[in-house]
Amino acid sequence: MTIRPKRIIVQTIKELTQLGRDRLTLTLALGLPLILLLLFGFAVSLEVNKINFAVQDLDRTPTSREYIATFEGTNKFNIVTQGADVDVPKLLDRGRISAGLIIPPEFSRDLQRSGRSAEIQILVDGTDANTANIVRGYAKATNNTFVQNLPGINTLAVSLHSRLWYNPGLETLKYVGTGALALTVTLFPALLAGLATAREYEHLTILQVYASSLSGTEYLLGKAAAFWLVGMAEVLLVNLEAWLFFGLWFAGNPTPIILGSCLYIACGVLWGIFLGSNTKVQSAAIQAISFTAFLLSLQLSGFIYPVANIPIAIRWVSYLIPARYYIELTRDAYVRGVGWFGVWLQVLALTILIGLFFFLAWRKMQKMQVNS
Amino acid sequence: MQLINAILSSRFWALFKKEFAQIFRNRQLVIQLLVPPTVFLIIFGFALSPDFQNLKVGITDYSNSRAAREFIEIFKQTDAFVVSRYYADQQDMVADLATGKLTVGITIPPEFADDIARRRTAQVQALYDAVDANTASIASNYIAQLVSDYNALQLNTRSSNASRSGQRDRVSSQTSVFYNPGLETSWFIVSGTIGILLTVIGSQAAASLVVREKEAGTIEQLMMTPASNTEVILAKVCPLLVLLTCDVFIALILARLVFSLPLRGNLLLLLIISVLYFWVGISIGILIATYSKSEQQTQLTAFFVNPPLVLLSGATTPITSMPTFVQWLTYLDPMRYFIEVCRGVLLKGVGLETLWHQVLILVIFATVLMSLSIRQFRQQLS
Repeated sequence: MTIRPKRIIVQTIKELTQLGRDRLTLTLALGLPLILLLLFGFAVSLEVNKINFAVQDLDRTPTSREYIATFEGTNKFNIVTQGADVDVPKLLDRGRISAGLIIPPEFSRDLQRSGRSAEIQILVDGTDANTANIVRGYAKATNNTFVQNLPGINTLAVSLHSRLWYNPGLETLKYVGTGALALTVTLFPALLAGLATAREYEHLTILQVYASSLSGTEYLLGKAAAFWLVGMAEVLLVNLEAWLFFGLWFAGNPTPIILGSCLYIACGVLWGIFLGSNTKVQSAAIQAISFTAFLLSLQLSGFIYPVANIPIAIRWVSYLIPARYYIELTRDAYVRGVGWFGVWLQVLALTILIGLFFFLAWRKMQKMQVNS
Repeated sequence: MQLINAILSSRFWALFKKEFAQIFRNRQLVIQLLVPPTVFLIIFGFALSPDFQNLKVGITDYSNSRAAREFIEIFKQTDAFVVSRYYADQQDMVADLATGKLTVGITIPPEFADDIARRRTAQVQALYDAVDANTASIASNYIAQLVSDYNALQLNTRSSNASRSGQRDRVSSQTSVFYNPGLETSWFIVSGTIGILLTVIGSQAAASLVVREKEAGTIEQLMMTPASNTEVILAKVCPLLVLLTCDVFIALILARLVFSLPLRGNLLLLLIISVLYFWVGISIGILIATYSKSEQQTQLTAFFVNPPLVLLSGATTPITSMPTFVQWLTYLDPMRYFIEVCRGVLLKGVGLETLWHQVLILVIFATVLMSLSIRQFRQQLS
């Protein structure tokens, strides 16, 4: 395994020049992550804030109106329409509401009579199970609030005081923003590296590489270094943008995340080169990279959904995904601020993955021979 | 019969056969079109579960009383939480919270039992690890519910003890969950993933085809055939349509087998609207291809276009959770309407009378995009 640094540098400069000539690609490579960051940060959320709500009030007494007012007072429910002839199931079908109430005609009468309890029907749209769960919970809690406010009923048994640690405003933006940061720098280094590699096979310029005195390792390192530089530029820009738009700044020691970013970009680039040299065709390389580096990272890294929720059978896959470790690093760096004590394991994992991906890519290239 | 004869002997059909054969010879493309939907549907359906289970709860019980233990029971009664550790000191619990070992830490004060016995309101503190804002808000929602139910139960016990006999839950609410009584989390994701896969694959494949032709230089040969430009384009698009329709079938069957995803509405309606939507996806792909000079540029531009389309469509995260100004943006996204149709037909079982709104908009999108892409393509050909 010969390594002559000068050759690596020459290879890197050649790759960068080639990249620089393709203006469109360069602009997209640097500009796209910026746009994606905003998109991810703002569009991705599982929060339930404004629940569109309809009420069919068959009772129409001050009591029933008070019941409805309790829902309005929570600031979570937004009444779209109410009245005696509101067709709640139809509104659910149309998707105009997420939930609805049906107050029966005997509501206030039953309430006033002791020994009877008044019945309410709550209808919830179950298409999105997560939202449905939350809506159902809010509805029940609001119902209980109404009962507790009824005259004659007094003290609450237990009053719960909640404090939110690290993120007092429960700003989804901080949570999603850190995840978005990690994700936006995932795709492009891998993609560009993979495309460049696949193109060499497609246009057969790889033969010139074989014929030269460049060794497999030098070629690999040179290519990787070039796209690593582009990746680090992206990291810088994206971090700047995250600070501007999401207010993300270092909560503690910045060194783990800086080292982690270097390692992570290297992972991505090496994986891209590995896929590129295997698929050998640009369009296939793109598909492979976008599905593995991007989509898998998006879904299995803990960005939107916690890793602990992934069934064990698939969870092992997430151990191999660098993004998973990188997200934990960004979350610690920008929100928790614990530092090396909390995240040394993640940094170690990234280092191991670099070794693995490098080995895979090298194995493919080391022979520097055309496969007969 | 005559119509079929006319089609079969037309120039369009000849070109169609050529395009079809070309695609099948390109094994990689066929694999690209058929394998990812299956694999990813399964992975996403299983992996993306906002089901919250086994959230770790830490308890610091300073009161050490029977009343406190009864209160703690509420956490054990649900799958959502698991009491992971009892702490003697709140500081230790907070330390574990800081390193992410707990989702929520509950502190019960020493006066708890006393307060309960004297009918005073007892104060309990809950500390959440809110770095994961979504889990924290769901956990706090659950816990608030549990405490609320506990309070209601206490109320009942007390009032019946105080001989206000028979006064049970003053208002009993009966909740029915429509369309998904079992609250299967996978249904939301899987119905959305079908849309994602079709969009992404459709636009990429179309772009690939067009650009490949450009790069290979066979465009000139196409121009020399007696077929008109429209026929050329239609012939390119139709084999893709066929393959994508196969994709829909595969996805639906898989979803049914693996996730028990229902198909409550009309399958034919879904297929027709899918084909309509493919026109949209493919037009987008062709438009991208006509503006790009190389395969690499095409694919990169597709990456410019696809993520916004996917993220703003409500496929994996609900549109109702997005900030208001972003919700306005989603109206510009054709995929949003397609996802609404998918979910409407698959889960709600509604038909055209409810979905005509979305179908109309999709038709408009398809017409506009298709004519734009054909015009661009023609300009390039000539």
